[in-house]
Amino acid sequence: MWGYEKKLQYPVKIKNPDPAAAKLIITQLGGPDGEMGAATRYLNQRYTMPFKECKAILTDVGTEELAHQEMIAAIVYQLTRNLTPEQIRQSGFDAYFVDHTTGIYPQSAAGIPFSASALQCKGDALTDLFENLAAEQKARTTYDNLLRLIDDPDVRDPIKFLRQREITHFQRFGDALRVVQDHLDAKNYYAYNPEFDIQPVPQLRNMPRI
Amino acid sequence: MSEREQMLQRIRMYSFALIDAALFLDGHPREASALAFHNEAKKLYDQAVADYEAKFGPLSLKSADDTKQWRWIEDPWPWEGADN
Repeated sequence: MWGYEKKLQYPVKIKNPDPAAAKLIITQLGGPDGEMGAATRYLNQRYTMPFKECKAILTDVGTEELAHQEMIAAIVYQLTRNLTPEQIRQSGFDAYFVDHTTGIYPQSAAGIPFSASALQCKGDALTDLFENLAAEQKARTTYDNLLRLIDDPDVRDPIKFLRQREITHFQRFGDALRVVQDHLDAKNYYAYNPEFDIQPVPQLRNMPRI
Repeated sequence: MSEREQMLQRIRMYSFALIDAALFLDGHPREASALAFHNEAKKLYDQAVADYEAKFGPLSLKSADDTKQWRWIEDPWPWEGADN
């Protein structure tokens, strides 16, 4: 189960509204490489993950992603407070506004609602960890792209923090990959799927059990 | 920066150290220097949370122990940008 701590992982204090920026940043809530997808991916992959280190990494990184959802939502919320109709029209926020007013709806920058079709729980330890390593890099690129387009230091500061966490999580999934590979046959990592095959392939049966 | 915000910032700092150490320890569970770092940060974190909660109310639901008024619902909430 989970508990809530009544604080953000890193502070978000934005003085000036900027609905155009909000429309871009919301992609890191509900877009294809966003924090909601990250949390969903890791917290669902963990059930069939066989190794204790990897179960812990998926649980703890997934939990941190929930806190990152909250930070992105806080950024979008603070960027869209006290808007005038004129600001909404001129910023290009009008399409979002007619559908959601200033509610926080998980969607991509292009307006596509959050979809689990952008993530995978393949039920294969190596496959899922490579998916996660790629996901962290995709999120890092998205933050890089946001930083190219956003000037306000109040907004850049928490985004830089989130970008750095993508790199840390990439490294931790690298640790998980090493743990999985240490349990497999180094001559053929693909001899069997440790999440599904109860008995390793015949030539491995005399090796120490997982 | 308000006193509340300063105290929250201390909690965030130690909390970050704990999270980062935990993620590393998940993959390196016998690393002595990381264990020592984690446990040092935990002492500082626990103290910072206790100091904050004594003054400003519960940071998590399970530490709520109000007798007159349920303070958990008090503003500001973290996303509101005041003292988050």
